[in-house]
Amino acid sequence: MNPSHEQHSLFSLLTEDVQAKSRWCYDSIHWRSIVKTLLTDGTAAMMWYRLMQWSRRRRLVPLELLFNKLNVICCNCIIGRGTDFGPGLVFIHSTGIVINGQVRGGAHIYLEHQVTIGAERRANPVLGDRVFIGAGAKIVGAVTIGDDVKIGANSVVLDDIPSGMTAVGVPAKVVRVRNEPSMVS
Amino acid sequence: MNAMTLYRIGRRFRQWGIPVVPRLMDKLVVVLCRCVVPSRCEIGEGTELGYGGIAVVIHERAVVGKKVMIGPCVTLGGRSGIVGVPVIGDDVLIGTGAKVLGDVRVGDRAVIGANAVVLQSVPADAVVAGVPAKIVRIQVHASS
Ligand SMILES: CC(C)(COP(=O)(O)OP(=O)(O)OC[C@H]1O[C@@H](n2cnc3c(N)ncnc32)[C@H](O)[C@@H]1OP(=O)(O)O)[C@@H](O)C(=O)NCCC(=O)NCCS
Repeated sequence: MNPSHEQHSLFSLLTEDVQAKSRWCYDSIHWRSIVKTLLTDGTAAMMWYRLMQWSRRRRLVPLELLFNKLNVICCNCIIGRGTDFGPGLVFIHSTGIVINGQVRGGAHIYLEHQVTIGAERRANPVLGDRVFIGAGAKIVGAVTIGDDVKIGANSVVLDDIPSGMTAVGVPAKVVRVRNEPSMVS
Repeated sequence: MNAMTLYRIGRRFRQWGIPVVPRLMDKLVVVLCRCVVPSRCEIGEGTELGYGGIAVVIHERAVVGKKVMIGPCVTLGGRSGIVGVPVIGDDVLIGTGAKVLGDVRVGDRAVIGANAVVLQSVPADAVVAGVPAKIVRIQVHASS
């Protein structure tokens, strides 16, 4: 977990994100679904984020700041400049998303609106691969979220969630182990 | 511009079968009001979005009754793996941050507490709260 995603080009990250969202929303990556996906709410925020991540790697500080602000102004979405997510990052809606700049995440992370992933006593969450986070959920502090995890809407996650679990509630508790095939292949 | 006004304009044009305008209004709502209130969803008269409806997300198949008060950050949406979406009655009060998810019906005059997660239908006049939401009490109205 927590690999560095430096090897991916900007283009491959953007395509992977949009395809992942298209699969999530329309179960297809036909060009029509891709066009529809590009027009949906949230997609712009995903792109501003990738551009910001790319500028940061190139050490283009003014651009990095610009994309950061554009995300705040255009999409109501605050993502710290150092935030690092792998390919296939999906914002189903972008309004009210807040992510700390030290958060690390794997591939195929799906976020609904009003999700907060932030620090508590300077420690930040680390997310695995294929994680779904429901609307309004908050993940704070030194928590590790495994792979293939689902977090329910409005949950407050304060403890680690092992791989393959679904956690809900305030504070979030594991409700079940998922034995169905993972949500993204 | 108020999100509800933009929604009503888009909705009217959709009913008249005039294209483009509804989609434009949908986008304007997102950009100007920071919320998602698609002209496809059905919202009754007198329904209001508190504080301009900031961060409210309503599913395009959801149905909302008359004189409903929807607080900021409320979501009326789908639930993974379930096709149905919420149907809200009349005179309902939905507290800030509440999420109503999946195939649920919320009865008339019900009250949903702040940040509640409603996954089951709520009877008329009930007050529900919590994650997941539970009935706290049933209100008795002078008129009934
Ligand atoms: C958490 C979630 C992904 C669970 O999906 P799932 O794996 O299919 O699990 P289930 O629906 O079978 O739920 C398992 C249990 O958790 C409970 N539960 C589910 N979501 C919950 C939530 N957000 N808060 C509290 N409890 C929840 C269910 O009532 C059920 O309890 P039970 O076993 O006592 O009946 C889903 O319920 C959820 O919250 N999705 C978010 C959707 C969203 O944000 N939509 C916005 C659309 S715009």
